[in-house]
Amino acid sequence: MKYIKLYFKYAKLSIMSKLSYKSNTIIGILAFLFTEITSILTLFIIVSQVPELNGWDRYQIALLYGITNLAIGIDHLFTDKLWNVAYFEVRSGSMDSLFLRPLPVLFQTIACEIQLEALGEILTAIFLIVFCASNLALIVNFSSILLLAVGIICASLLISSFKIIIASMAFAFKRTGPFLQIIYNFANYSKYPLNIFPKIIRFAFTFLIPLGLCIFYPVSNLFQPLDIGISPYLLIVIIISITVVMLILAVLIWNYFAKRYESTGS
Amino acid sequence: MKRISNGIKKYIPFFRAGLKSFLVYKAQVYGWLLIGIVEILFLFFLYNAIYKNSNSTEIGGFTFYEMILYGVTSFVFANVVSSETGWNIFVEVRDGTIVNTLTKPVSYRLRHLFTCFGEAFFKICFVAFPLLVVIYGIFLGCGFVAFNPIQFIFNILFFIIFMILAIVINDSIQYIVGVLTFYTQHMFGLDMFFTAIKNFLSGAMVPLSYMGMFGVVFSYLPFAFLASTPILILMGKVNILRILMFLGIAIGYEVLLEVINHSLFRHCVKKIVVQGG
Repeated sequence: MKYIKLYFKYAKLSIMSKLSYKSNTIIGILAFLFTEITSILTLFIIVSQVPELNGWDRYQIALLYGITNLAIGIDHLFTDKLWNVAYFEVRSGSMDSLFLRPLPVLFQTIACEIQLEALGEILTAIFLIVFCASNLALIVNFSSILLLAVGIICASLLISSFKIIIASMAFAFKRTGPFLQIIYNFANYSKYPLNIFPKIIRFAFTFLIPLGLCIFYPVSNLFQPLDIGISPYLLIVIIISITVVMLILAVLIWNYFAKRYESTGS
Repeated sequence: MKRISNGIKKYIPFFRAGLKSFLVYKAQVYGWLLIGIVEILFLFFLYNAIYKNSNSTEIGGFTFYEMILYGVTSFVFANVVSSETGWNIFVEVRDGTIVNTLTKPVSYRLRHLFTCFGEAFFKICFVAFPLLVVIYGIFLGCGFVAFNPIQFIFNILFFIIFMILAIVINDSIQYIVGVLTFYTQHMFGLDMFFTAIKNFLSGAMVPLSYMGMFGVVFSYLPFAFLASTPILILMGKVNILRILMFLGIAIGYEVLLEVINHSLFRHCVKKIVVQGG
């Protein structure tokens, strides 16, 4: 309870500080919005060259893209500070103040920044999802919606877990941003249908960076019932279990590296 | 002549500074290469699926291997045609060090341009040139693409000219973005905005020929000279008359951009707000 209250206080402070530079925040939101629009246009241009891509038409691909972007956007809104940890904050010594306070460092790191610029990403994703859904005949029932909702939330938490793990390594190696960028770029390709990739990539997106498991299968389930030999409810249990395990692992790894933190003295 | 030579001489240290700053960050190059390998791998799978699902062997005037070559060249070219000028100006505005710079007897614009040249020189010599030789060697050696040898030499010569123009045009655009931070005192959003425009309209993300009539219009905008035009020239997809026409247009755009830069800077320099310093 104490942490929930503190989280909202931190979040309020972050939003107030962002809104004190209103023009910057608005430019940031518009920049993300515009970047997403150009990315979506690029996707449309590429997939419009063919009638369908391994059984997926352009609206289905765009829906998958929008839902993946929504998960990425939610993570971006709440855990953007981890990028700074991976790139600059350890090296500049500005993490020192967080280590001196009587609160978990991970909690402070995540709570102290709400990245309003992510709203550009989220709004575009929602617009794309609504637009594509209205052009598709989707299978809408309790299990398909529940699977999709769980998939989006868990995909966001999985991205956050990977960010926590790689950012925490900066405590030992000082700068792990480029490595985080590689994982992020890799994860970006989960926006495309898994069945266009070879088996090894499908395996990676299902088991190693299981964004495919969280997004691809729930979205496929909206077009036709799953043909992977398990029911949607079992898939929900698997997705939640993997996410919980990854989150616990991420926190353990963060704590391990946090104990080895040495100030750079900058 | 001597005056011009002396004029250029005073900017050589900025060229060296740009070169050295990139020599220091060799690790950045390895990181970029790793990111590039992942990007190209996925590009390969994506276009493989696109071409397999197409009824034709050519899409937008590109065969599958030409498309991959275009994508790889675009990735390498984007590294060369990238400039830190906007961010450098922003940091000077933010830290207040711009005041020291403005009092020195050097042109603010040329100082940034020569720093950009230094960075680009490093990237061309140690990254782009070796990579392009290996990539084109593999594609030509394996017979994935075929070029007329004499024409290919001319293509390379024109490509080098257009690459230099691309570096200058991109730096001019970055300079405008940097100078705009005199007003906004914030760079991230502005840079992201211009990068999105550049990536889309330059044909860096997808060839302009995929965009139909819009692509034709975009090919005459200054952004096309930052990726599409030079790469198409290297791949022998532009005839000599169009190359000469594009050369004239690119030079015209650069002159126009410099005029805008000059006027904008004269106007913005009056608005400097130094945050602390």
